[in-house]
Amino acid sequence: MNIESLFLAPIYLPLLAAALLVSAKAFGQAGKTMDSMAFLIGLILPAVCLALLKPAIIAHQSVETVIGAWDTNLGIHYHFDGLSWLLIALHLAISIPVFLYSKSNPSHRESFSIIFFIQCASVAATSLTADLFNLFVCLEVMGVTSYVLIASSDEDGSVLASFTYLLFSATAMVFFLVGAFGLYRVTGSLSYALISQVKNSLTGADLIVAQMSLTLIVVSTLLRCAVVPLSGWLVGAHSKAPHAVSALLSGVLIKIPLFALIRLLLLVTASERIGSILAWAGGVSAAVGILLALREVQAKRLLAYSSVSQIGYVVAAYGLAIEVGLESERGALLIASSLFYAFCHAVAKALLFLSIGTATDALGTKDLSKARGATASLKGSGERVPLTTISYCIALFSISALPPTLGFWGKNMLTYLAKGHGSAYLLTITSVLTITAYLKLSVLFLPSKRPVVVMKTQSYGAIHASYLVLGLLLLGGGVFALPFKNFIITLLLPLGAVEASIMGYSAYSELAKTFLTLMLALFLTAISTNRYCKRLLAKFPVPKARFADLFFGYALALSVMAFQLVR
Amino acid sequence: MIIERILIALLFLSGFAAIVGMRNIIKKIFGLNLLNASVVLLFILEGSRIGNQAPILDADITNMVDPIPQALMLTAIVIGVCVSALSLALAVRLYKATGSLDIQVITERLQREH
Amino acid sequence: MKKLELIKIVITVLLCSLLVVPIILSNHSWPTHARNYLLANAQSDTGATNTVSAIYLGYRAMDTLGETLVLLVSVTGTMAILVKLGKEQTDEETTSFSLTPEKRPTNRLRTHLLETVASKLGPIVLLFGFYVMLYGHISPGGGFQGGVIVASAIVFLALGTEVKSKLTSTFVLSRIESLSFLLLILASISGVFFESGFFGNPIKSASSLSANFIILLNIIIGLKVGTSIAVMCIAMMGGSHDH
Repeated sequence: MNIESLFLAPIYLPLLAAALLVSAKAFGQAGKTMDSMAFLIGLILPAVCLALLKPAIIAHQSVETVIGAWDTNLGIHYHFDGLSWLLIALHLAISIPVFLYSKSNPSHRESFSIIFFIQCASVAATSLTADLFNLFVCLEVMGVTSYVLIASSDEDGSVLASFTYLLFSATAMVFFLVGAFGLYRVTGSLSYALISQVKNSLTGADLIVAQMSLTLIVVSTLLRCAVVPLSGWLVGAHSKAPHAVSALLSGVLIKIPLFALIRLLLLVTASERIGSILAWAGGVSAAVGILLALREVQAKRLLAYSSVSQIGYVVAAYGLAIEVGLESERGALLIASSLFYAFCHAVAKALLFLSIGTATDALGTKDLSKARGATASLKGSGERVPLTTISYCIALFSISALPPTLGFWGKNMLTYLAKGHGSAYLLTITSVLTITAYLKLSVLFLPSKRPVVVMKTQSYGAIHASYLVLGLLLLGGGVFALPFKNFIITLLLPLGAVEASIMGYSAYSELAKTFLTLMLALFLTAISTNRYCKRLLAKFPVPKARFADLFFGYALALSVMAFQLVR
Repeated sequence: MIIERILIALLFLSGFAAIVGMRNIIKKIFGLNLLNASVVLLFILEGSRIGNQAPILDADITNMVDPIPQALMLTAIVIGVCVSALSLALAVRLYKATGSLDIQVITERLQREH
Repeated sequence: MKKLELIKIVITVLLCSLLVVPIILSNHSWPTHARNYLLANAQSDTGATNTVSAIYLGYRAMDTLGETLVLLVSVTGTMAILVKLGKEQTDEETTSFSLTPEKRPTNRLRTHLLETVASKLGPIVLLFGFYVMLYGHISPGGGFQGGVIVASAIVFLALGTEVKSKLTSTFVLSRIESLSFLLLILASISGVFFESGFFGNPIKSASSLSANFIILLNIIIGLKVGTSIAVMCIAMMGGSHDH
């Protein structure tokens, strides 16, 4: 086994698992044994391969390979380095517990697992590819699996959510193709390295065409990340999907395209202008997302709005890093903290979706104004240890950046590094409001005076296993946060980042700040439970994901970015 | 040469306008297909400007068209067909659930259920 | 309110056209070095005379794999949605296009003419489909195109009554589909164990045909595409039996 075969394993092993499941389904052999075999081949073996690759990435190895071993530029280039290793690891860390969880739901049959494994392969391919048209194909595979998984819920609303997402992102992908056309026409190539080589020496009308094509590609990819003018599709899609799918989509799938894009952005010139737009877009996403979450009364929709807000942190740090440039210490630290926070949020949000999903299922309602006493209902439905409540608390601590969890380190370092840029203020305000929003969500677990209604009883073995994996990641990550952070910085060296260590940052001063944030948030919560305040909040218009508005946001994002690039 | 390009641009824009502006979801899907078709035409047409022979390596071939856009579009066509099949299935399901094809009516009826 | 919406739509289309139209109208000459390279080397690299096949299943086979995955996922998703509908609704049976013989008189669209012609045409189209599939490396065509023709042949057979064929049962079709998908994945992985890497040609020296791997992939993809599109069409006509 050479290194190429090893790092491509996260693509072909899940595909093999999917193919085995497809055959088993067609020949009527599907069952528990087949499922566990697919789990072993599709998720555990790739994790083993990643573990085997760890020495290579610590030695800063970066391998460029052509699929099918053609010695020409016509082939598809795949690029393996620390970044792709980290992205695949992030995806596996979430998808293993999510797969375990999905087995607790009897309505998820073989077709769910098949599509799940194909999605795993597409995520790995997206994080490895260095070819523009192959990126298009990977994003389409990822998209189609998402549409089908979202529509697999029993609610009718999920079909509308899936349809909206499908039409919006399929249209954007056609714009992506136009962008690929423009870049191929002026540069004569589809691999990132060659495109950027030619593009950086263009002048005149050709340069304008190239910049516009780049705009189309960047904005269409960012659509998948749900940055604010492009985020209208997310709330419906992520709140109506089955819980396991919501956890995966909100945790991982909105971040992979963002980091896959960095390979292209680091190579072309004038990407610092894209970076400065992204930094602001991230700040605005964070603030807008949390404001909308505050007035939401439905549990899963609140979580989805919070995803928009949290991806804002990641995008802001990412944009700032590109603006500053990875060659500077600050840029290197920023991109590392962006990845670090992406990891924190992915684990925490997956755990939140799984625990809130289980709790609302047990309660039989998602309405935050009525639902109370989730712990008692869960107990009634057969949960002996109140692990759902405990893991909700851990995830709550992490997403509100309270010690001793992973989120405490991630969010504080990120806001510390972003200081000096305008969007840092927005991020700080968002930190306070995030705690308020999640305190509002926590009423689900308050004891209720009403008698316990048992919807259905079920076994909690698989669900608890998935909680344990995610919860231990959050707590363990909190303990080993600094080594983990340094590990990420080392991994990013092959991208052209410099070795940097964080200066002047002390966790003790952050503790004081966190205490202040918490107090402020409690104060705000106290105010917001006030009758007048509630009435005021209810006066905000309810945003609806109408097609005209979605595309208006898309056109707006396109024109702002094109204006910045072409001027 | 410029006329073909303008026609393709018009096809593209009419497809886009249908997606954004039409209220009937089936017409929106038509718009998506138009959009796809215009991009496929664009690639094939521009790729064929540099030659006049089919890209099959016979003995007397000297001036063939660029086969890369043709191969790329083969993939893009299939993906487009798959996406429209899926969207049509979703449209049927929406129609069965709400009894309407108008996106605004569908949205209202689904929200009323909650 | 309505006016505001209209203005929004107009602005959206205008802004997007401002970006897209310059790219479409751009007058930069089309790059030729890929074409020139293929003209000189495609045959010796891949063995295929048809350069589109050489790219589609040779240089850029990874895209083709992705495309097959999109097809698989969308067929699975569409079937799940249609089957769910089929369970809910039975009153539409009379307008369904492929009905059991005893119900047929109720459907005006299923004339005798259609049934006879379709069942006579079916086998010929099937043969043509396999021809296009097998000769994809030297003439226009290939696995995907051949597969679509095979699918239309199967639809013809499903419409006709004269020939009773197992090919029209979704049960058999989905078995062929799943096996060919498994074969495709195995063929792409096998390179890993033969030193040629993922999607490398594992049988380069094993056969005297120079385009052996492309022919193999053409057959597998043709079967996969043909059966999955046929399954979808038969399900849409209301003739799926196994669910």
